[in-house]
Amino acid sequence: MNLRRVLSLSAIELLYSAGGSNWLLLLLVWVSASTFLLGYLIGSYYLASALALGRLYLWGFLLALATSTTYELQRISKHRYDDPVSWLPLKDEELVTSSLIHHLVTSSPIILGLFSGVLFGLSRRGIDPGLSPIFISIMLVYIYLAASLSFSFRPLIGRLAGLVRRGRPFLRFLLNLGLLVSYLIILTAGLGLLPSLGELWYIPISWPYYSLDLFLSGRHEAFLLMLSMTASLCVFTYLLSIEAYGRSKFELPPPRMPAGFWGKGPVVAIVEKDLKAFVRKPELLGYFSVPALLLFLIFAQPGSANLAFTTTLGLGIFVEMVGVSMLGLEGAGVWRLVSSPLSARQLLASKLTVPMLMGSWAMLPLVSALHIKGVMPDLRTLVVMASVIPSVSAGSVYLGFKAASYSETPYPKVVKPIPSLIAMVLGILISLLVGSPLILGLDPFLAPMASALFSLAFLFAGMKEAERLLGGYRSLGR
Amino acid sequence: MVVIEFDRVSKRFGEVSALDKVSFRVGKGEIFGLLGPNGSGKSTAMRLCVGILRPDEGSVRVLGHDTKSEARLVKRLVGYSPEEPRLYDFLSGYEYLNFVSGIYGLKPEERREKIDRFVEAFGLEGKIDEEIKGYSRGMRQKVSLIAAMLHDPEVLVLDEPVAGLDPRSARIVKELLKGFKRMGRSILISTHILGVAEAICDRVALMRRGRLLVSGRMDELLKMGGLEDVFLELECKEDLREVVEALLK
Repeated sequence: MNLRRVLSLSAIELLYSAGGSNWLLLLLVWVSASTFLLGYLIGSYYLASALALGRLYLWGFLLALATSTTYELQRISKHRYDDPVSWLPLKDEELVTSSLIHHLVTSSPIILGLFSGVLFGLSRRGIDPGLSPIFISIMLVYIYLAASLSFSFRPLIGRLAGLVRRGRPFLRFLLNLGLLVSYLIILTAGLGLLPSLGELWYIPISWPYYSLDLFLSGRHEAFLLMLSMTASLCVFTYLLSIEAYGRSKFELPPPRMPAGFWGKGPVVAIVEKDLKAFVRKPELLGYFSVPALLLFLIFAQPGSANLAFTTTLGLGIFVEMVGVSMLGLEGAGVWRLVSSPLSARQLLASKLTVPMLMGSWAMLPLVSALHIKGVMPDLRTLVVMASVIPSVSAGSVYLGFKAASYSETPYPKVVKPIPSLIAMVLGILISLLVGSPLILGLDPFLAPMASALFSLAFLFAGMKEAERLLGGYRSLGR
Repeated sequence: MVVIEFDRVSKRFGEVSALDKVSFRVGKGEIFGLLGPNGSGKSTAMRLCVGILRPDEGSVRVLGHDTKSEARLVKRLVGYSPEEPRLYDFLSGYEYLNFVSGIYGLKPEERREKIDRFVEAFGLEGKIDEEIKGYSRGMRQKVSLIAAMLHDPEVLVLDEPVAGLDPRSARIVKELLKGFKRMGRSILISTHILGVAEAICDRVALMRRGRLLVSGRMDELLKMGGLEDVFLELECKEDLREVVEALLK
């Protein structure tokens, strides 16, 4: 195996995933910072006084699996017959090793950021996080295992997806999702995330954790045994992934996803354009006053009663305002979208992405402000807040199709007044319903369920509206 | 080979009949001109051809694909520039063209090279990175034309392509269209500048109030005494000299 060739290949794949060298560093810094903050909140507020290490590693492993699954999905869109790796004289082990290095490098900021945050949060509360560097190095082993296991399932998923003629990317997505769920069930012996790994010693994936546990408790012989078992597991999954690659490379290549689903296609082009509109169009810039006002309210309000709920409601209103404007911001230039070869799905996806992105971005300073104010935004609160974003986005984008005002005379309006009022009321209602667990003391996991139901209903309705618009923009007349 | 086919196409907007049983065909490698006064239905025909509008009666087919049932495919095959291109004012010219390239799925490395080539040809260097809101009508027209041609479409549908352009750019557009024709591409243009039609069109159709009055080869119409005379003969029933004299009184 040529090490230089392996490193070059992984570097190329790394730049490929980041969309170029300009974005790579920024992406890594952004991901590390965000995950560190999340980890810090978990460490500061969520974890009980006794650190459930096993559970923590399980979460980390699942996160690593999720990221490697995402990269697997990206492969569907990016790798083709004419990829140099398909015809250059490269060895299977070189390709697999380079892919594993790529996964390790790209997953590390997420996992390491999260875990460093957790450990920092714990130490801030006076809980001894133990040997942090060792914790993190064990986590790297888990990232590696997640990546190599994902590779091992590639031929199976490829072949299953090959059974259908249409919708292969979607089927691949579902299969990868199924894989994640299966891991979860196997790893936890069907008991969910509640038990720690301490009860699951017979499952090989818990061996890295046991190695650490035995080392910390000073049982050196047992530690060496467990370490060698862990090493064997790593070698086994490595060989398995090479074998799997060898079996999958001569199959038909995975079908390319429609341009825009992933990568630099129409969806990304529209999202980029719309984001620019929000910072350049004066009539849209004002929307940013909503999160600013919310920040002010958080600090201005005496006490902290129901502050998390109020913030959730405000976040919902902000997302609604952005969502309902998504089509109207096209203005008289809407002919460009209507005359372009866009599918209704692409149009809807692009218009949904912006309010969801902006809602997520607004959530970060709001949660930080709540934290500074002394409100404990624990994971349950975060789940409820995050659940409001997709449902309100879907609802407001759907209504935005009806509310859009393309006229620029006498001045650009973006949305018509009456439908925009209806959308505002609807946005508040959805936020109230989805956010109600925060104030009524209900199970917070009702929020994502309610959100999913609302989102699905509005997505169907939005698809119809998008199809109607692309079929001919009658509202514009002649 | 028929590339564009209008078959007894009618389109109404409320009480107004924009097109009334219009039929014509455009062959491969042909420049076909739609001529007519304002409100004659040229732009509606163009929009029907791109799949932006749907016909109430009849059918429009582009390369054999129905614009109603296969609108998305047709839109991919066609490059379109409307009469008054409303662009996104908050973008720069380059950002707009980059956006359109993204919509058509052009690779990033391909985009820069193509955009630069067109920008240089249309004399937009130095202006292309400025926001569109500061552009003149002619500059907007140039950006819109470049956007229509970026993805190498099989068919170009251009509504008044040289309106508002300076003479140099108008000449470039005309030469470019001839070049497209030589490459076997078909072009449907509308214009009320008869000189443009005479200079580049192989065949023309004269329209009035949503109806197609006459269509034929350019050389045949020229034999009938020039395009302007044919046009006026069909368009204006009254004696124009009497109108002019009445105005001069």
